[in-house]
Amino acid sequence: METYEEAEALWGGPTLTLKITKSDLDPEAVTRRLRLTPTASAGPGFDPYAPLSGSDGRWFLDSDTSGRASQFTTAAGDLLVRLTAASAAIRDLVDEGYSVQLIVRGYSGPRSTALVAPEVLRRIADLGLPLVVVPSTNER
Amino acid sequence: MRAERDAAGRTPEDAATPVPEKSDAEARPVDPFDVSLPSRREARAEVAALAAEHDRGSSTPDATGIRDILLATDLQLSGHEYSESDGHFYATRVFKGGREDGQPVFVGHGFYREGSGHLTVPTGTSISFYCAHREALPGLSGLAIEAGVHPGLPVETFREGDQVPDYYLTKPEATPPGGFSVFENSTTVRAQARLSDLLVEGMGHTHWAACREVQ
Repeated sequence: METYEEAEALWGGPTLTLKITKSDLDPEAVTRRLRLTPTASAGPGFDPYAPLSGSDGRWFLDSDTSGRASQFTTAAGDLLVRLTAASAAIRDLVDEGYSVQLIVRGYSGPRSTALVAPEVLRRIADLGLPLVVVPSTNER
Repeated sequence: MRAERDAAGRTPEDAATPVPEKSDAEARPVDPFDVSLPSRREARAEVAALAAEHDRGSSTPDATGIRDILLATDLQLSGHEYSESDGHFYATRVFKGGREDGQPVFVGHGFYREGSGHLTVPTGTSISFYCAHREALPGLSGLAIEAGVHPGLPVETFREGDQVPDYYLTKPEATPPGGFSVFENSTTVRAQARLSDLLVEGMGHTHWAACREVQ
């Protein structure tokens, strides 16, 4: 086991999310094609509560958000297994012009780290999707 | 060399050490060297440190005032034990009690996800927010809302029939290196939930002690 001179806390509440957007995205059609139930979705349209987010349709699938930060590898791994099973359909969506991203979010501060295990990175690489990392310093 | 710690600041040894059951914090003497159960003085020091940290990084002028108000509320650590199925389990520490008026307070990390839309506030229920939509709520302000001693008026209050953004609430896991303190009587979640799942009829006046940032 490696040891460090300074203890490093893990990000709080890390979550991996698949985000799909397109100007004419039909949430139900995406659900059918991927055979996955989204965490949240919305058809195209301006969102007055998020005016900078554009008006594309959106489809989100999150990793399990229960459990400790140290269980992120398991939660992300479980989601990636499901996405790998749907990888052909995801590739089709990309080819049809959908924007498809994987997003890691979490609550971070000085000397805090997000631990992404090698097997998680390998699965993300195998999917060939852009990975966006979004740390938040919000206290609440 | 220091041992690795998890997000709650526990070493692997801490996590493996069973915590004695107790029905009340007063049931056993506080050991000032027991890091799993900080003394009241340590808890106060932690709140003061949080306030100082907040003051350094924010232009919000009232953090020190909020700190002083909190310190005057006789904060005491809860003696309750929580399991992983309780949102409180993920907090760094839990203080006894909560608001004297008994009004529900939703506590954790909060955000609005693009496309989530809104919900209609149910009959017999209202909800107050203490930061503007798209803004973050400082930790100390959240704690003061939970204690019912927040010195400022709500930024917004939505009453029955009003439309309110359908925010998400997640468990109160600390943003390192800080902690995340909650009160016993506050409402937390163990996994993310939407406000539309949390607000029901007849809740009376409720409070949102979480951020309202947009993701």
